[in-house]
Amino acid sequence: MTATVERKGIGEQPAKRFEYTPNHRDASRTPLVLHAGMSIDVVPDIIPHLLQHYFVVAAEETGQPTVYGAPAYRVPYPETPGLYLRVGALTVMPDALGPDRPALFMVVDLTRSQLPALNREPPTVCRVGLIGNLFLPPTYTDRGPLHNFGLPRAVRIYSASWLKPFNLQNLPPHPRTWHLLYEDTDLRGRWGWTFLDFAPTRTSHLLFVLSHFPALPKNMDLIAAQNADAYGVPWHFRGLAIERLAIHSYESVTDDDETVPYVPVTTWNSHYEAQPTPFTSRYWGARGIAPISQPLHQSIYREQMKASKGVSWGFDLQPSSLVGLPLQVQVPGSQAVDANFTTDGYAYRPYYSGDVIHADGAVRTSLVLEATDTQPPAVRGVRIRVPAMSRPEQTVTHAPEARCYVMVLMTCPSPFRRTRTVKDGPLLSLRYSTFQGRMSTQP
Amino acid sequence: MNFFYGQEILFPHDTAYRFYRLEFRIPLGGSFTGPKRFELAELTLLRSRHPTLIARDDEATRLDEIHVRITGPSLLDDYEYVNGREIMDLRLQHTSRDRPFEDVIRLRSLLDVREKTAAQIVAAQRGTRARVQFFADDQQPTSQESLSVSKQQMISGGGTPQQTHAQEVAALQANALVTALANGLDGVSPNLRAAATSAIARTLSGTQGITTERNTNLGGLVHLLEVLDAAGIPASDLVKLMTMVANSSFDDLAGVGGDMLLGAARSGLSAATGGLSDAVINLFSDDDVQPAAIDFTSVLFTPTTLVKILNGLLPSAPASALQGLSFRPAVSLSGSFGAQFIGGGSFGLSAQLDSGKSTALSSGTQAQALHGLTVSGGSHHRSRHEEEVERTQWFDWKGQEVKRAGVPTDIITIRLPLGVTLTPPAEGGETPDAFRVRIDLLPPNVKVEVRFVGQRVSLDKVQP
Repeated sequence: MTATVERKGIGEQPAKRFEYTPNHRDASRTPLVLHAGMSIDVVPDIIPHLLQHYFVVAAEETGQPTVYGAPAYRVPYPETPGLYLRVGALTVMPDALGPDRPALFMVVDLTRSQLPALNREPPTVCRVGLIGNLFLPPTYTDRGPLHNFGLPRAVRIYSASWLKPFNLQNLPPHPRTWHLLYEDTDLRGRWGWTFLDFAPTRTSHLLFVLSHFPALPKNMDLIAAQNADAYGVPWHFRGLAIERLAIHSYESVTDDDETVPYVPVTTWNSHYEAQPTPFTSRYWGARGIAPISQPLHQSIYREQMKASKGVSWGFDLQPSSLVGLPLQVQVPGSQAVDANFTTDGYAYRPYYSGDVIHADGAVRTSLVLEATDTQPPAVRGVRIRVPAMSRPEQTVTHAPEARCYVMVLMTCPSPFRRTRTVKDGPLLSLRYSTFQGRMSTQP
Repeated sequence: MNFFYGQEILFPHDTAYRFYRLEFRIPLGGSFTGPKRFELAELTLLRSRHPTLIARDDEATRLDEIHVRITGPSLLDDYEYVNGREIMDLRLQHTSRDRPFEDVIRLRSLLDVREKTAAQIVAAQRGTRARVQFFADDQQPTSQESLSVSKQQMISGGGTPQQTHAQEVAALQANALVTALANGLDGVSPNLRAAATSAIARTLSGTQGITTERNTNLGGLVHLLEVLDAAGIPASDLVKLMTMVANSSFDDLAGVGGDMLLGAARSGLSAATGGLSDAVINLFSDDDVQPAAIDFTSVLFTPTTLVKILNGLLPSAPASALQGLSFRPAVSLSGSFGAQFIGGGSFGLSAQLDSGKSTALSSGTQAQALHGLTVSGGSHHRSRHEEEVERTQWFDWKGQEVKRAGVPTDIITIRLPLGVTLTPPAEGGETPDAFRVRIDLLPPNVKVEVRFVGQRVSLDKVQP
């Protein structure tokens, strides 16, 4: 059947058949239970390539690495026992990279949580979720961003089923029998869960082939860095940091929840403070990131504590706070008087703040969201709330003339490449809302 | 609007996009004095209740069909409603060129669905919902008396008596017994399992002409006895009963004794269901039955009691009691054994599922059927009472039920051909063409899924 439609282009493009089910999702909200005991049991086979320095597949309960000096930062990653894996790797690579790059092959047994060992029932899965290390800055080249959050740039997921328990006597099937489920050679992490969706598949094992690892900061491992310096060859760390890996089972459901689950994709400012040069940002400055092209930067505000308190740290107000993943910093309780505290001495601010912008005219801060339903949901609007504890004298959100525009994006495969994927100007100004007066904090 | 609870920014029309960009601006000429920053404590995407297909700026969309699935546990109970007691308000609407939405079809009840659409209906298995008449004899027939059972009246819908063949009714009730007692031997205590196994083995090797189906039913009887066993009845008595049942044909059971089962059921159910037994026993305890006077070990089966049990217990017992006993309704009418013994049926059955076709379940007629029985013997005094039983009862009947995600569900699928072309808006401010399913009223246990099927043509310019 040929569609009879009006075409405006010079050339014609073939019609594409579509089936669209609004508010439908294939993946269960709760991840699949991967293990009931040791998390390493879930991974019966690991083949690291050029990852001689260290490699770890650990349970989600293990302590988070502390990077970027004191005080220690952490993120409240989800910690339900048995649901998640942590995968990390680090190696020393010469700056002059050859064609042989680090890679990782990992097998995940989806039936390990089932007892007894015999007659395990393979589940039907359709989604893999990743959370990278939200401490790690993105890496760039002249052509644009390469990596973020320590996630590999190339991810391939295969399915393969073999019924016998995996051991040396029962080797996995030949790779020609693997079935490719997902492939992405330009993976970009989100400020939260990065979901990899594929067609529902009933399988007992998922095989992950991860490659194109990001370059990691040299303070990831100080001892290894000292040893590498002894060689006298320019070097850098390369590896990956997947703080949470979850696998979701198939569950065909049409949601009627009031809200749509989403994840922040990117955020940026049109005018940073003291533009055009030098570009200054406390957040990126604290990480030693040189001023570069502003559209490549995520607009993240680092709230510096007052010098009178004698501390040099601050709160990083990342957009991941909007989905329950705020950065937490370990500080003495007496020094963080207006921060939310956890019971073990970590303070955090449960909201997001963009970097400081300068008042030179048409300034704007943009925040891109991605709905994580399997199919694009039907959305009727957004609801925003400003922090009750904000200080109006520093916050544009409280300005009477501040406006919020909501725009929809047709496609956004690589959100960080703003000039390519996000069209200039509003694509569709649905409605704007004007904040009238200062916010009332009284219910 | 209180900002503390959030400011809602509602779109002029629903959207269906994956990516959204929020832009916070300070307009030119404002009193803004920087540097400052934007903050958000909460950001929520609000889901639309109405599935919408909207024309995109860069594509022309031809909508060929709309598929609507309506699912719910009791959709087909009453065609006047959608869950037996409530209606829905489903409107398929279309808008074009800034005009308001216009209704294409409006559906409020199942009758609307059947009349206005080419819907396919997949009915899940359900039990009897009926006003059932129970007949009982206050004089037990002797063993020499033949028990002839005929269906006396079957009032369908408005209550018109209809005479049907006695054999059919007898077969119906035979299957009622079959399925009521069929559940296998799982969970039976070792002594009882051994006795049941032995009994079934002997039955299989017997010459009573017993079918395999009947042997399965013996397992169900064992399961019933399991409940009694759990209630503390001595295992020796249960073994004795089981052996007696196995040694006897169902015809012979008429002379074996039923009050024992009655008394056992009373005490067993009382313990197992926590007081529900009275409700159960009352269904078949007429003046001729005195449960308090039952001697469990000496009182035997009577055909009258069994008939009353079979007539009354299955459709009338509380759901919890039924689940505890694992009773199951009959669908297949193929069984024939025991027809001469049991007699009298009271089951309206949805046998359409056996055909595998998606036909409408005429549950209304069946559910309101009135059944009765007449036991002819010597000088009988027949008593009668009526019971209004539960309209829909789900039974765990493997291999027959319609389930979705493990839940018994009625399903209605609507396929509506359209052939509508949605063109992009000519100007930026124009409302784009859209087609939506507006859901204004929907009972909480009814789900509606909508799928838009069509073709899209990109309007991006392509160099020749």
